[in-house]
Amino acid sequence: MIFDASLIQTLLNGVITGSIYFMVSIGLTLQYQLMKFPNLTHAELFTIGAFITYIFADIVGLGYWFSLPIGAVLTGGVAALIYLIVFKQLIKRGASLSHLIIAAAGMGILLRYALWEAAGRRSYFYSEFFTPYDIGSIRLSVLWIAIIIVAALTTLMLFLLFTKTMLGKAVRGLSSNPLLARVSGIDADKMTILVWFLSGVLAGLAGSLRAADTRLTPELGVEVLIPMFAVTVLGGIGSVSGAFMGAYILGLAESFGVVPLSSLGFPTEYKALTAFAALVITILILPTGLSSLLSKERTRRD
Amino acid sequence: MNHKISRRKAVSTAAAVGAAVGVGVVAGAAGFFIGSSAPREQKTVTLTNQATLTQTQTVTASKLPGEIKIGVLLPLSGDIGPIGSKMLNGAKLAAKLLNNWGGIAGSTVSIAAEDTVGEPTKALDAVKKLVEVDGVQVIAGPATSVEFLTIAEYLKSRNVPAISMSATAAAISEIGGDYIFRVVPSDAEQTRALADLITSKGVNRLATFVVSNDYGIGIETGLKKHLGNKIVLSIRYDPTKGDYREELNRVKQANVDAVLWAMWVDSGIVVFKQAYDLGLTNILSFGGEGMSDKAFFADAKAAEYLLLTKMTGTKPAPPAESLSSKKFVEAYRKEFGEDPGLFADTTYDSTMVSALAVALAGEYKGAKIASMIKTAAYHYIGPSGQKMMNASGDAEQASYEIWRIVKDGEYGFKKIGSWDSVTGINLTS
Repeated sequence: MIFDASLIQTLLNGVITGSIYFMVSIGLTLQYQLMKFPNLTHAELFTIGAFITYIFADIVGLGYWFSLPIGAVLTGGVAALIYLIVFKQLIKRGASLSHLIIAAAGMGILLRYALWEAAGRRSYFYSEFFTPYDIGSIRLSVLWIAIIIVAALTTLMLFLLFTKTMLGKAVRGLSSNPLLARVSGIDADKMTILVWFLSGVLAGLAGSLRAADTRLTPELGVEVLIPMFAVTVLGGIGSVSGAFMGAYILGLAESFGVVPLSSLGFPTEYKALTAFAALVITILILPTGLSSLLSKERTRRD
Repeated sequence: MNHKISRRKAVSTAAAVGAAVGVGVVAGAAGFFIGSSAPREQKTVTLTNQATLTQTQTVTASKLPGEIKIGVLLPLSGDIGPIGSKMLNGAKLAAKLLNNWGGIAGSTVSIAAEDTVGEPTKALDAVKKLVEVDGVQVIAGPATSVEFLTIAEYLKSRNVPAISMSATAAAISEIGGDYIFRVVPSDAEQTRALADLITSKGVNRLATFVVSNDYGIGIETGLKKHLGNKIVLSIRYDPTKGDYREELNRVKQANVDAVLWAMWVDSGIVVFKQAYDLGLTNILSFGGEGMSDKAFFADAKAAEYLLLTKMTGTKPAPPAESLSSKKFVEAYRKEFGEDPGLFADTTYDSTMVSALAVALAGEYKGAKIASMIKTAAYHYIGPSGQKMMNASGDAEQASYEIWRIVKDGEYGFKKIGSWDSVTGINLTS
């Protein structure tokens, strides 16, 4: 009885939400690893990516699936540009952590209002039709499968990048000991641009997928801003594997939170509350996040 | 009990005497209603009233000021200023016609309008100005429910009655009936129409899926009152969340015949898209007026979902044409050179009922006028219909159109029936 079909669907719904959270949070985590400041602009890249995809899919008319990678790559470019034009200059001039945080918050607001101005405060919808299928008593649409697959590929790609390639090793080296990394000849600037680009690509992907699943508005990023930071904190700021676990815990907590809420007659808007209760409890038990469970990262942190 | 009966008897005797004197049946009826709603002053009021009608105007004219001010609270600037400014024409027309007909027992009627900007705090400033500075004792307005709820306490403390022309929130009924009135029905009436519609379609298990705010919760609680345990699941969702798959999965698992949706367009489209994807399609869809909006068709999947689940609902119907509405439109066109806009008729009606209440009170004092408003409304038929009020001061008469989504080349809505508070539901197709 407990393991009935409705709960498989609930699990699936949680995995879809978690996948979006993971893809958008991982960029924030990578940037934090490298630069040690939380980039509040990141949520807006989620929105920008979705809009770029929309332009190619529905205005140029290339269709959603072709436009998705274009949107992602161009968002990566936007992210790299933001780093080069704003944050690199600030760091060069000796901006402190709080300067950077406030600059990032301001940049985020600037981008959001620019989008409002350009797109208006209305919703857009991709014209692509995502066919839904019944698999037993489970319902899946092409888009939902795509979300899960893209998240899985992202995980695999990041794993390979950080463990198997020189590039990944350089980024890791740079984040754990910047001075030593520079001495050993790693080009810190190039690595930082690359990480911003990669973060932008993932944010653009996640944003385009989320917008297709829901709707496209200039506020799309605001919806994920809090979950994104929650995932990053839950995972242990700067930890990739922690962010992975954090994203899926939050996604599943939101999804399963609806079940008791609706059966007890509470408004389901409290589902965010159940998810954040999970967050608060995790932080109380593991103040440095889930990553402290993973011994390797703990030693590094210490 | 005995006491009451004998008092009634006395009243009807008084009325009979009135008729015998040759005042006419109308005067007798008016005397009866005045007598029954203010029994302590029955004798004097009846007499004054008969005196008025028998042309001895001096008796009443002494108690009414030469100019009777009807306060009007409307948004004349701001977002809804353009609508409010046109509504004001309805009040002006009422005053003009009253004066053409000889005023109220010789006194002229004038309009004292104040701008509320459609904002509660500004409305409070505006009503204070009307009452404290202009000495207004009866008000037509304000236009919106939030404004009305905000200024209600002040109105009660100063014993000044107000009659809104367009505030429909169900919550107003809780504070209405003595100083707070409206010439429009409460939104709660629409849930009665919806409940009748849902029942007529043979629904036994219903889920409600509403946006978690006054609008959604108002419809949910209203329906619960009428449908009781036929509602097996109630979901209130957060419109800013943008992802409702699991909420919809709960509805799917609850195995319902139908879902009542009350949502805003933005989040509503997401809900319908995801409902389609989840396969929540073997149900019937119902909705209130907010759902008969073509903006829901912006997404093809959402539109298809509504068609698939035969979305059917209610929305306020324009008042049936009557002699009163015909004359109103004629007079309005003559005066302003255009057709009356939204709520011009109800603004006219609330101004008229205010003036009639002053006439019935025979005195320009808020408390007395307030006690006469239901009586005045009982006898009044205006361009927006019959304005009889219930105990909460809400207009009793309500009529709704029943619509259904259709696809004829493109998506649209079609009228398939009607509902009104007298005859109930009537489906034509």
